[in-house]
Amino acid sequence: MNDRKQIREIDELFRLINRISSEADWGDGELRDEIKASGVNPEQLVSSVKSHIDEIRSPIHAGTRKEPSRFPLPLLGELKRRSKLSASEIAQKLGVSVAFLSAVERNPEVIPSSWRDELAARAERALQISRDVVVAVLETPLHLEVSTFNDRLSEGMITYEDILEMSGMEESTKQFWLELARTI
Amino acid sequence: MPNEAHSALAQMSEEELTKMILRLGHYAIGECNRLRWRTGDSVELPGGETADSIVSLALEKTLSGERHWDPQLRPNLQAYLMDVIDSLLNHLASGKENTLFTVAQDVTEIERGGGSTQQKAEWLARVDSSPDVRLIKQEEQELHELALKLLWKESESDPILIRILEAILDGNDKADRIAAATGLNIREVYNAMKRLDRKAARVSSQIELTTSSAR
Repeated sequence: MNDRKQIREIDELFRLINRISSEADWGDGELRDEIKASGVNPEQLVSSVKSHIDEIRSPIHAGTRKEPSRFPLPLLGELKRRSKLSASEIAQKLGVSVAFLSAVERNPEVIPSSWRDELAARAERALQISRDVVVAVLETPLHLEVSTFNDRLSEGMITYEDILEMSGMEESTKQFWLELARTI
Repeated sequence: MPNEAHSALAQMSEEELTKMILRLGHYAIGECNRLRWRTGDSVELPGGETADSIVSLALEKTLSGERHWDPQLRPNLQAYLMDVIDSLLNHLASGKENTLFTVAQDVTEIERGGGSTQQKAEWLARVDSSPDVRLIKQEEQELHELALKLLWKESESDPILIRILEAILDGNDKADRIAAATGLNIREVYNAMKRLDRKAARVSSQIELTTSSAR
């Protein structure tokens, strides 16, 4: 029986090319190059998705949690839930990158209190979310229980300078946060 | 009932997970390029979504059970997630935030690699009852023909790609079918598909660039 159907739409042709090529054996380097060529940072893509997976998986895997947290979601999740905006929209409104917010939420123990206060003030100003929420979310012990992929990679040795380095933000923005950290 | 996707993910090594995310991201970007978005930007989608947020959302829906992955029916989790990505993007594309971008293009100008001066562009809402529907469809058809023409031109120096293109257009929608239709082995087909994918991305960018520059 012949179940072939001629392709008449370019849309369908492009979809098939994308789908069949995705089954091919792409090397990591090849994939990163292709993604980069499309204007997307592959490292940021991986980090952002892994961070999201951590968020989703944490309630199931953190079965040893002793008491319910006041804020069950990490920073980005909490801001997304309250603002109904996407991660990139939130980052844009806060004047930072998604990678920066992801790193901050995963490493709240290393961020200076001045950063926490600045993020809280910006969230209140730009997202109309009480600054107390951001401060509390970044202080909640939940985050210490969540073992993230990147945390495992960095063995917990991350510093706020590393967070800035990985943030993908412009130099002037990084400089702002660096100076803010040193005002403590 | 245990969520099979959770178990599958938990069994993946860090490297395997990274690779799957890269593959899903690459696929999502390819699909985004295929669609013409309200923003005129295939990286930033309607609603502020991005390729990585779409990949995250596909995983979230699968891990939460909102999309139920049955490994008995679809053993390949990655392929299943690609279906979810398709579904999410199609939903976004047809959502109320997205409108159809059409451009009255000068085909020869685009083929020459230029195209900003001869074009008039306008946003047209996707409203089936609009009196302009026929015109929109005609313009869309012209755009499709142009894309095919450009893809053909990009591929003409590579005879294997031309054979593969002919086989796909003839309705062979799987790698093994393409292999049978072209007489190539499956490895050659996959290698050629990677080349064809890059050319398709170039064509998509060219069209995207042309339509965006005309805004």
